[in-house]
Amino acid sequence: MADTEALAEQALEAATRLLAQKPQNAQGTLQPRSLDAAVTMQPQANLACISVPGAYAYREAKRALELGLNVFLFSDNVSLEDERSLKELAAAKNRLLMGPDCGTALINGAGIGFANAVARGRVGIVAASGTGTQEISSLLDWLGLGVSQAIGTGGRDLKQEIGGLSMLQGLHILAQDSNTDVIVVTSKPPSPAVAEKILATCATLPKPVIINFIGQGATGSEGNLTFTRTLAETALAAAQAMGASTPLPALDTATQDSFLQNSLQGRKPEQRYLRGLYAGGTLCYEALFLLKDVVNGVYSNLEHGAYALTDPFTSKEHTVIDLGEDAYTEGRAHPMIDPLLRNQRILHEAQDPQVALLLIDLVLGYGAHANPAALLAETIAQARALADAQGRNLPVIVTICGTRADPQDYALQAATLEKADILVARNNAEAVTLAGRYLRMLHD
Amino acid sequence: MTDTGNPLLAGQPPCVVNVGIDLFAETLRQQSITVVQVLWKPPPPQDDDLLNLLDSLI
Amino acid sequence: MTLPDKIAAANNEALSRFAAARPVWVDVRPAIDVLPGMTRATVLHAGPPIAWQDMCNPQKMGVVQAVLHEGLAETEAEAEQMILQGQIVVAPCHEYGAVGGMAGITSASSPLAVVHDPVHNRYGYSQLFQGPASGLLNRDEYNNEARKRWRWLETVLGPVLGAAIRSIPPIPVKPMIARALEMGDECHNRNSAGSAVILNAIALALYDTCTDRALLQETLAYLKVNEQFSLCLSMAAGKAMADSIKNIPYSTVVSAMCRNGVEFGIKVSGLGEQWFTAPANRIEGLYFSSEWGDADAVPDIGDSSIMETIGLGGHAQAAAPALQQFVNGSFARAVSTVQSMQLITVGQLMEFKIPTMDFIGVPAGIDIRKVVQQGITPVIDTAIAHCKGGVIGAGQTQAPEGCFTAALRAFGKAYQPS
Repeated sequence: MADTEALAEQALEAATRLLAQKPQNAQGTLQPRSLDAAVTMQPQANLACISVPGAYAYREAKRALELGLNVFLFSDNVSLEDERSLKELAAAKNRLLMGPDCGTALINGAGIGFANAVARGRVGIVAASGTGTQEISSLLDWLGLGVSQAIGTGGRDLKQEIGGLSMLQGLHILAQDSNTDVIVVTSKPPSPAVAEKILATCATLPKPVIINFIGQGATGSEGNLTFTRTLAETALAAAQAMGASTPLPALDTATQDSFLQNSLQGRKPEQRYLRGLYAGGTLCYEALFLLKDVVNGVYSNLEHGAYALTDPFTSKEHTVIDLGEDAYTEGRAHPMIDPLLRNQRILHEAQDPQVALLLIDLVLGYGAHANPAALLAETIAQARALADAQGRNLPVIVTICGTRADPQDYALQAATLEKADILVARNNAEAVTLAGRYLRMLHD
Repeated sequence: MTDTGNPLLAGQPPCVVNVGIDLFAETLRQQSITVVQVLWKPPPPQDDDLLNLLDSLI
Repeated sequence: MTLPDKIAAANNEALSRFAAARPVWVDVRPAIDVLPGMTRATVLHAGPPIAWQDMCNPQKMGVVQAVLHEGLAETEAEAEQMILQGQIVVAPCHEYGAVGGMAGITSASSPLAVVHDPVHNRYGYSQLFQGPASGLLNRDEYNNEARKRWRWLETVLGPVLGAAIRSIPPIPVKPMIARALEMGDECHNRNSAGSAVILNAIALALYDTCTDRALLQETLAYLKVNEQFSLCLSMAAGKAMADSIKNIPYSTVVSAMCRNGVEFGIKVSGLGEQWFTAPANRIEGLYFSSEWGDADAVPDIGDSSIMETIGLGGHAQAAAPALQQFVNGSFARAVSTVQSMQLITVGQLMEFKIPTMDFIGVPAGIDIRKVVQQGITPVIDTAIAHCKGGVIGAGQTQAPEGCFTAALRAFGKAYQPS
């Protein structure tokens, strides 16, 4: 009897305790209206991801740094003056300021912004370019390696006005990091004075450093420094520095040759020009640079001077465009998220009798469209029907940037394109090189 | 990682506050990263007369 | 007492009047019989004052149709001529003690729900809804349908409902609202529960007072499909409550909020009958059919934002999680919306509890000072009107900030010692 009473009392007590606890209430799902409120709610927070319009970005980024957070700053249209002052504040606070206009980072295995599902490993990356980081890190994953940290700096970090503040900070972090054995640096060509400073710093580091200033073309080694021409070579050089001997994934020669032969056979004489339609800015820049060795003059919205594209919506002779630029994205989503704009452009190009070949990138990973290959394959089929009605063929090379662990399923994406008779290259340099071979056959 | 004094690089997955595009919070949740989304809106334009008036009424 | 103290006391008085009000549904009568100042040649509309020629299309068209419907003109051209020459009085519902959903077109013979608050001796009136839109694709067909509908409201629904209500003790509106909040309504965009509660409350009286089986059948059929019916009563009660806080000196509480599809207008208790307006916002939401899009929609329209004025609708959004489907939202977002409304209101109305938020009272009494200080404007849950007439969707929008800053400046002029 006493036992039952004691048990009953215990049960009652437990029930009272349960009742006293607040039910799963609204407080738990509160959405804060400011950075300050968010940090109060989540004191563990250590990174702010900021993508507000440029005019407000400085204010939010500054507050985040003051609150002791690191910052991934996706916003663009921040003045150079504000960028410098944010980076100085970050340095004083011993925090990272990745950006502005930073698209990709990998921090302790987490992909921030547009990033691929890359294995963790011992290669550290400091990068002034988003899709450059995506291409290098994805290829490292294919090579059986992985990334310790990929730190973004924003596209203008190596300009004279900023002086590489973020890159120097990133280099020092990776030099000290016991989980990083090899360091990769990638950027568009820096201003000469900043390049000198970066190279001098790299030369003092106790680790191999692979340097890829896209568009500069330097190669060879010098002490602990190795210079590479392409993003793919950069991944390969990093792997070799790690002691790996796996070759880059590549198309076999027979597939390449038969693609060229078939394309030539179905071609009309006036089909002479390439149209490169890129979603990835750095991939586009690399294509532009690699093609310069092959053909005379490629028009682009990334070019200044004689080969600058006067109308971004009209191609001219050889044209390679970055569809992620402001002229195309105003008022709509980036083509990596919403392929509509690029697909329209493909249909447009298909009706130009001078088009010989399309070169396209397909970026997978977090943040990218859930099934881009399906839409692309469908569009190419429509485009070919248009070309066919006028008696032309339309060969297409697509380079996929992604890993086997990406949410879109790499194998499915590649198979979808191949089934649609599209040549799928394993990296951008391979795709561009093959395109270059075809153009040489047409123009010799 | 060697202690850099920066808690972000201490080896644990980051803990993120997302200010702006919801997509970036979604991609982090896909990776099981803790994210707090801020309901952000542009600050109201500063109007000194109005702010002074407010001060006298509140 | 300092100025801020006087304001605080006045605002507390306003909130306590909201709390003390006991609005009851007493009748359904034609506008001409009940609205003070109503004439045969008067047509009322939703929203702040606006000239006929400046109205958005559905409201402009509605005024013309009402003139024809009342037999004041034979043709549209003649009706337009009369309106332009000032032979027709065109005025806001709000200035006649009434409120009207969407375009809000109310003419002499329109049957109105009559709600009375004996505590403050205030009446509130609301038109009865037409019901689901039909014939939207063709303008003439739509107008014909709408006028047929009006005729039915006047000859069948109004008299049948009126007789039933008069035969029973008045129906308290606040307990109906409280019940509906418990059952998943926020009492602006979702009124499914409230309408069921009302149908329950009057079914027997309808049976007892309407001996013509055909008319009874039509009335019940209308009540069965009109899941928004209780909103008529809530709006009439809201109008009575809001009018009870008019003209409290020093109060910065909003006493009216309404839209005419062009402008959003507010009144402020301590500033009497003055309107403060700003361009109406577009509505973020879903269309009921894929044939409609943003190009078909009119900006924010209707007097139904009287619900937010007394702390319901957008202010109580978390009570109706189902509505989040219309705004691609989430429960968390609805909770945040309520929390942000707490930042701009005087306090909670404990009679109206939000069960999903641990039974807090709805945030009521919009304080224009807090709106300007916080940069947060009231969230309005609302239907979307087609530019040719009819309801085509639902969603939410926000009151424009401009009317609150204008009101605050006027308040400063009126009350600040110079």
